[in-house]
Amino acid sequence: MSARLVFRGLSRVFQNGRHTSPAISGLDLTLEAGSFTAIVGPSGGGKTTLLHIAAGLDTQYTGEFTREPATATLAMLFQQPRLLPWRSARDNVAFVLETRGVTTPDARRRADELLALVGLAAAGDKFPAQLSGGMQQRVALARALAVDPDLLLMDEPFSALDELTAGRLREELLALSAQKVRTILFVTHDIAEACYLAERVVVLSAHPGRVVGEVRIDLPRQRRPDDPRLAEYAGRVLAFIDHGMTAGAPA
Amino acid sequence: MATVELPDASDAPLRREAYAGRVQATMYTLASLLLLALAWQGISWLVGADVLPAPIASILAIRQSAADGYLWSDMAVTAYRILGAFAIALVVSIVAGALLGRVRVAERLLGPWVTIGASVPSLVIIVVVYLALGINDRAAMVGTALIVAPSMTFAVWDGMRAINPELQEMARVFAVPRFTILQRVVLPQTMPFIFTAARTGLALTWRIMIFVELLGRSSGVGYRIQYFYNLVDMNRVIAAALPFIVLMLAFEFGVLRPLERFVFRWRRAEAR
Repeated sequence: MSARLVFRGLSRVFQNGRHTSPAISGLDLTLEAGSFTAIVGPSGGGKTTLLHIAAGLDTQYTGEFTREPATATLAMLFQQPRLLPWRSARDNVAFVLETRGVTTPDARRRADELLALVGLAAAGDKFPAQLSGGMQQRVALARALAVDPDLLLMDEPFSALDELTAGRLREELLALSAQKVRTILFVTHDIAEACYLAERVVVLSAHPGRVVGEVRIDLPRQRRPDDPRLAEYAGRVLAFIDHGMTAGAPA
Repeated sequence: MATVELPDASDAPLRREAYAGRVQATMYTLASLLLLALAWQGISWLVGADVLPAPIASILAIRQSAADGYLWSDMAVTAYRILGAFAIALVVSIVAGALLGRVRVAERLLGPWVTIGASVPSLVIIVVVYLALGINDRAAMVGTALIVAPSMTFAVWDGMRAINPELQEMARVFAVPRFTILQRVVLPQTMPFIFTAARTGLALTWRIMIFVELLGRSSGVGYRIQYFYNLVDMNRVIAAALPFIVLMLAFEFGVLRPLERFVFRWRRAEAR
């Protein structure tokens, strides 16, 4: 059962001493259950803030945010892998299962299966420091899949990787998202990445963040990154971003 | 999905290289010790054996301490006092460091106390504690602990501030219960600097305890050093200190370092 997210009139203001800066202002957005949505926008916009609100990490917002069902299982992939450095790859994946009451042997067995799924069958005993950045992010992906999330949140998960590794991981994410339906919210500043992965690309403006437009990517889920139609979609997204820059600028 | 290839970690040449490295390190340590003994002997010749006795004479004098019957009892009683003082200092510094590092109000209100505590002369603390608690082992432990605690507290406090909030954030998204986050995400992060605080704290405790014994106890390594100093028997002064120095070094290299290597094996693991 995948989750449905509704943001209505959402605003978030950050207080920095006497200085206030609105990160998000009057944002309306609905993510249908089972949809794959990418949020793009200039950096410094409210993208990450929106993701933190969706994750329940940030509750200092005004307006409305609902997650249906409220009991939906969440998982998140961050820009950095955020693995526990003193636990092996296997135990990092098992960690989120153990804290849900799965016994340690069962959690480890499941962790090994998931590591195999993300192509790291041989890395179970390795500590994060022994793995490359790309492998660490694969472990983080295995950990996210371990809880079988209804909602998968992704905060520029491939932006810290070299392009070759990032490209391979994107392909694998696309394949995984086709296997099982779950709601995915993917934040990025990479327009090509957004168009390649998502069914729907929502463009946020900067300072404050609000929705300035969206583009539906009407391509089958199995895509090739060099599909010429993707460039067309990217052009439309870029037009919205340019529009958002001028519209969002202070009068 | 493609399988990611991992480099083979059990490369035989690599292991042989590591072994050669260890042999070389041991050789250097032995050479270093030999050089130290030679320097000691040289200084002894320069200043005279009545001021600094030669290494061989000092080592032989240990046998006299053994024959007199207090070699082992001195070591045992000093070790007992050091462990007591160290345990108090460790508990105090972990509690105080956690409070100062995690609670903003505590840091602002009580932080200066640590700085003040660190600048009070050791002698003042020892004298005050002996007066307050009586001249006994308990006072020796408390006094030493109070002298050692500030620097250990600084170490824990610094480390607590360095705890990475991003890992807690991750755990919260994955709905890990609060207590489990504390236990499995926050506490393991505190281990490296608690370890560092403990190591430097233990070395400091030993050096302070000698003073504390000298001032108010009639047994232990510190007392024995003072006793033979008054008799101007430098052979026996060195002979009183030497066995305990060896004990401390054995503890450092035989227990602490291997334990540290095991507990923090995830840190040494380099990306290949």
